[in-house]
Amino acid sequence: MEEKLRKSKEVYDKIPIPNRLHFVVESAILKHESSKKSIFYRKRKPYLKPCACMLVIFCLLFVGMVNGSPAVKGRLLEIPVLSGLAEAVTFTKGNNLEQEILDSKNITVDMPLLKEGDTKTEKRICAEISDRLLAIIKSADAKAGEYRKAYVAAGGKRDQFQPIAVDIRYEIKHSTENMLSFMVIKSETMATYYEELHCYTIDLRSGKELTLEQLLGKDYESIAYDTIRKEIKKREEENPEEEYFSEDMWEFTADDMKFYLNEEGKVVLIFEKYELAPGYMGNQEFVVENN
Amino acid sequence: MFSPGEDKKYDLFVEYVKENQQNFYRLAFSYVKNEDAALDIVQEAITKALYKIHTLRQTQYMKTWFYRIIINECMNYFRTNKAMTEFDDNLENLMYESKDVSESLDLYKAIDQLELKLKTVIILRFYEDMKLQDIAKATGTNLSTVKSRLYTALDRLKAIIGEI
Repeated sequence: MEEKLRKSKEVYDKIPIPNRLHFVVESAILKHESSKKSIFYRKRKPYLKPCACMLVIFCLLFVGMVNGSPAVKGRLLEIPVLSGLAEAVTFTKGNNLEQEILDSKNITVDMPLLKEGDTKTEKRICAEISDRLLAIIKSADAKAGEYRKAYVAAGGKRDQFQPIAVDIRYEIKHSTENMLSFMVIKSETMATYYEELHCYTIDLRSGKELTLEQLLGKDYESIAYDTIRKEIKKREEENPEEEYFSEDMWEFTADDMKFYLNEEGKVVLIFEKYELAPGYMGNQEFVVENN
Repeated sequence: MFSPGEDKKYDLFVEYVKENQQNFYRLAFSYVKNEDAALDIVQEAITKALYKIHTLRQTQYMKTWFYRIIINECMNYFRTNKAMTEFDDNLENLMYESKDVSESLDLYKAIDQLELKLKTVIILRFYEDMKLQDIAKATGTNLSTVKSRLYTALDRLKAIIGEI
């Protein structure tokens, strides 16, 4: 029997290997590496902190890629009311970058456009945001270049490479006169689909980005961890098939946690796929009740 | 940030993954018998492994450490996808090309009828050429458990294909 089993390995060895395997493996590795390197993954440096106000909402609708890819411009011009504004937007910097993207055969970009504001604050906000969005795009472009290399290395034709579709959108989670909380979601589609979240909660009076500590008080760490632990326990009991990663696998500190304010103004902690649970379980959100 | 040692471990692992990706795929495929599902498992396993590379203490155990992750992913798959999978017709068609593999093919199919724990031992022992000691590490059990599973599996296989 054992001899026969050894012989039957030939069947196992003939399991056909799909061409996609190479991409799946490369993209899993690249995804991890880029999440380690991404400026958004690190603790934000003070000078990178965005400051914004209510106008952010409108800004997010507008500026950005107007000088960029024709597809983006086309989309904007289809809306008659907006067309005048789009023409008015000019970039003082980043033009080179946009030309780069325009020339890039690695990605196609779809994103909201920002309008440069009138006041000093508005201009600063727009600059901060467009810098961020362009940084996101630039890193996506670089990564796509790597994919392309992998594609060519695996025997693909260079000009047959399907550009990666990069889609950037945002969600306003909470907005009052004084407070704005929003999330930027970047996704990339190739053989697989990846999403990356960036959350900003801004005190509109000061224009400063708020931290968990400012929202939850000095015990924010224990409050945040307790909420997650309690809720995970509850969810696992309710649904035993959904198993979260054990705590020793958590790779974040309370300061890394992403959060937004929901409509009621409660802090919601949000974790991306793989941070707390297997990917198929998706993003995980936890409402902090006692704030 | 990674310490230099962690960095080296990380690089070694990435290299190992790139070199052995076909083996990972075959292993996953032999459980789920479905291309998409097997690719998903390989991807999930790599992602998970990269996230917890720090839990790998000695690089010499990289293989057993990573196989354990893959096997867990396969088990997760069956936990969430209750329906068992059909035998892959493509593989069968491929095999008709040479007649002398029919016995091997029967045996390969028979392995599919074993329960997952027994199947794992057989695949790792005979198809992945792993030592019993390493199988114990990869399955999170001990040597005597692996031995007893191996003998049970062999008995069952004999019964299935009707050999005395």
